[in-house]
Amino acid sequence: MDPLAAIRETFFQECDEQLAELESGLLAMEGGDQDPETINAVFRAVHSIKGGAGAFSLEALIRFAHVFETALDEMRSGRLEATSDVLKTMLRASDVLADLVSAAHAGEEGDDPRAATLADELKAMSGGEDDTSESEEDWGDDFDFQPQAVSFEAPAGPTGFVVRFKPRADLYAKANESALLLRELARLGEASVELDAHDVPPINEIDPEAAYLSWTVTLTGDMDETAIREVFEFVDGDCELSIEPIAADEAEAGGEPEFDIGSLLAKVQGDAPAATEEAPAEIEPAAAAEPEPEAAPEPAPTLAVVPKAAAPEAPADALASTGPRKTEAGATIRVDLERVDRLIDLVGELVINQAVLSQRVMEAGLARASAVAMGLDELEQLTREIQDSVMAIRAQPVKSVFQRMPRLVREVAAMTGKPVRLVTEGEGTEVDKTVIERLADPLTHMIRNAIDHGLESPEKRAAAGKPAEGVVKLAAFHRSGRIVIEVSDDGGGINRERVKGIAVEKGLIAADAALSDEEIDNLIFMPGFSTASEVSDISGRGVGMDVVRRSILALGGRINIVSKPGKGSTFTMSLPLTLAVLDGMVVSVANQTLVAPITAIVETLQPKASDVHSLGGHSRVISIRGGFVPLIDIGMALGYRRDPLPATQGVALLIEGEGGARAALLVDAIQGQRQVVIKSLEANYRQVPGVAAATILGDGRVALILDIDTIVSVSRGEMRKAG
Amino acid sequence: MGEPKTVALSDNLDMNAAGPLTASLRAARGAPVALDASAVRRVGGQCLQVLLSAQATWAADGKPFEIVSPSPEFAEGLALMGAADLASDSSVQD
Repeated sequence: MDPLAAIRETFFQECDEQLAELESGLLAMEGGDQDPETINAVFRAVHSIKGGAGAFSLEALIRFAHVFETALDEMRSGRLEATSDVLKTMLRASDVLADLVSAAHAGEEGDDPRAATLADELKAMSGGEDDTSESEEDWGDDFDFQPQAVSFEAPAGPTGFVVRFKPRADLYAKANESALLLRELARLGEASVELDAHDVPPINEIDPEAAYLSWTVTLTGDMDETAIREVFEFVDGDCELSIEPIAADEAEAGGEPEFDIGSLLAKVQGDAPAATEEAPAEIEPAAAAEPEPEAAPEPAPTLAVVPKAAAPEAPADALASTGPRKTEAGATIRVDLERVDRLIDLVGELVINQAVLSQRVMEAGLARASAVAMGLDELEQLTREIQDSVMAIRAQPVKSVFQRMPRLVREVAAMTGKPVRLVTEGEGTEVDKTVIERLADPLTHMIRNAIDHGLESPEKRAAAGKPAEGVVKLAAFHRSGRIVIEVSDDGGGINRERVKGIAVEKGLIAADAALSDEEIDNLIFMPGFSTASEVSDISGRGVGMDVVRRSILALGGRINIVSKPGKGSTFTMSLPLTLAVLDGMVVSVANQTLVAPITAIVETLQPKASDVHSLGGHSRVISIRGGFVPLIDIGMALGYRRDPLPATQGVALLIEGEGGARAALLVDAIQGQRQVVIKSLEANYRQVPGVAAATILGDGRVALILDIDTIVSVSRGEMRKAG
Repeated sequence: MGEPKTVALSDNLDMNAAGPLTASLRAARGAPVALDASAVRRVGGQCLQVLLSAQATWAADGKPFEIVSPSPEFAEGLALMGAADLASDSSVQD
């Protein structure tokens, strides 16, 4: 990959993280959080985005981020009160910022009219229209964005800092560059840079990827420590960094000729060749406070001694919190997803291989108590543990999907004119990354639906004695090896009369059908229920709840609804934690071993001759508790045999497929229930109709995993043709 | 001692250039060398390390080491990293 493109990609990844931080910070503030660290985190997020945007000359982004940052700074310094209105504007600004970031990512940077409008609002709030608009023109050329230009009155305190910076190899490996950091640092004020190259080995020993250099930069001028720290924000954890203020009088003493500072540094370093004689005596204390470069592996002690008076309240707090942030940064690594998937694949192979081995040992007739068999048992346990741990690597908190929802709620609330509060719970609940990715669409639709159809208008709510603001709750938790996600609203509940009416009108049910409340509620999942007449701008877009249901089913999940008139509705989705393994029913069909996903199976039964009726041709139906469902002979459906298996010789699996359609699958026998590792058939062979994937069983044989939905719809099509 | 071998430095001395630069300097070792920095537009920390290492190595070997016609960007980059001496001092050595 082109290195610049790689850096750019990293920048956008970081942006996503910063945007998430920004939004959650603003939401916390909206919820009454008054911790100065929260506003600092919010400010830092916008500042970092601006900084990175500057490096790539993303001008629209820089311009907007600058205005946003200015307003946040006003808020940070207490000049702008964080009222609910102000925070709402800030939240909208964060949405616009997110849009600008994605536009820049897609390379479609242009002028967003919304950005201009919001920028004006922000400017009006921060009351700093004049100085920002003046400099607006030249931001593009030099991204000169020291926050102090728009922030604090010069604090009485240090007028300079000594910054010691020693990059680690990781800093370069992550495509950061010392030269750029030093350049940014130099922008903050008058900089004198001292290079320590003592660790550089001779050319035959040097590792070009390593980091040998360290720098001591003396910055003089009007700046605050936060600004310096922000320069190093992206490399936090990848370098040793110490920032020490020069006390006011000392800076003045040394402020005039740069040489004095140079010689001060020379003294501090102790090993510099020429310490100038004229170094003023009174600067010695500072020199003594500076630790020996080599003896300073951790910058933390130096941070701790920063006098509180040296910086305004808020930044001082920001400093105090950099400690834990640093460990956080060091505790995680970014790993290419392909590598993780490869590992998962290999562990899958290991599981299979271990099963094969166990079977061979059994076949060899070794006693259960033999050393080999015992060793194998241990191997099996270890394999399970490895498998669980590897799956855990792919697991991610659902937060990444949940955090897209506040924005959606804001937008839908604005469109429908219904005030809505989103409450999220269990954001830390973890589930496989693939599941998370495929969860976003159904969740989006369900939340839209909850606001648009679930919540009543403010007037109706008032009439029902409810608070005007509706509540939509999004919750996630683990339950018996699956993840459960609930979307609930405190609206009026499902209007069963109307739902039933629509279903009759659409011909989905007979007009005289006697349905339980639950059955009526579940009608909204039927294909064709969502109608043009009720498709609004928001929940419409041609997608009905049947699509939501289908995507949940495709994930091996289930969805259902509980609704209480006047109290609201709750949609509950239950999903597998991973798509790499599956709980399957192992069955035999015409001497072949097949696997049916357990999630689709409702019950199994032994067909009685009297319950099975032929419809002509090979089509049969089976009567189950008064209803008829098609009986599908799997052996025939997959072409294993030409003549149907007499129903009484087999076992029927009653399954529920797409859209709630039921069918009974006739198989020869059930072998058992087992967790199987899913192997893609498409990746290794090609797509086979009726087969979703394959797995390898303990005896080393490949078993096909049935694609129940396809089998059902194909056989329905054939029945229609035959009938 | 003969004419120094001239090595042209690439225009972008970023972290990706550090490996090739090291290799070409290792190959040039044992003889006088002149590094042509006229094309350099950007110089990063890792290439600076390599150049400083080479400078020290050549000095230890007692061979002339020189950086010739540094571009303004190269000189500015070095100055920013506190290594302005590298471009100016080395010319004194020959």
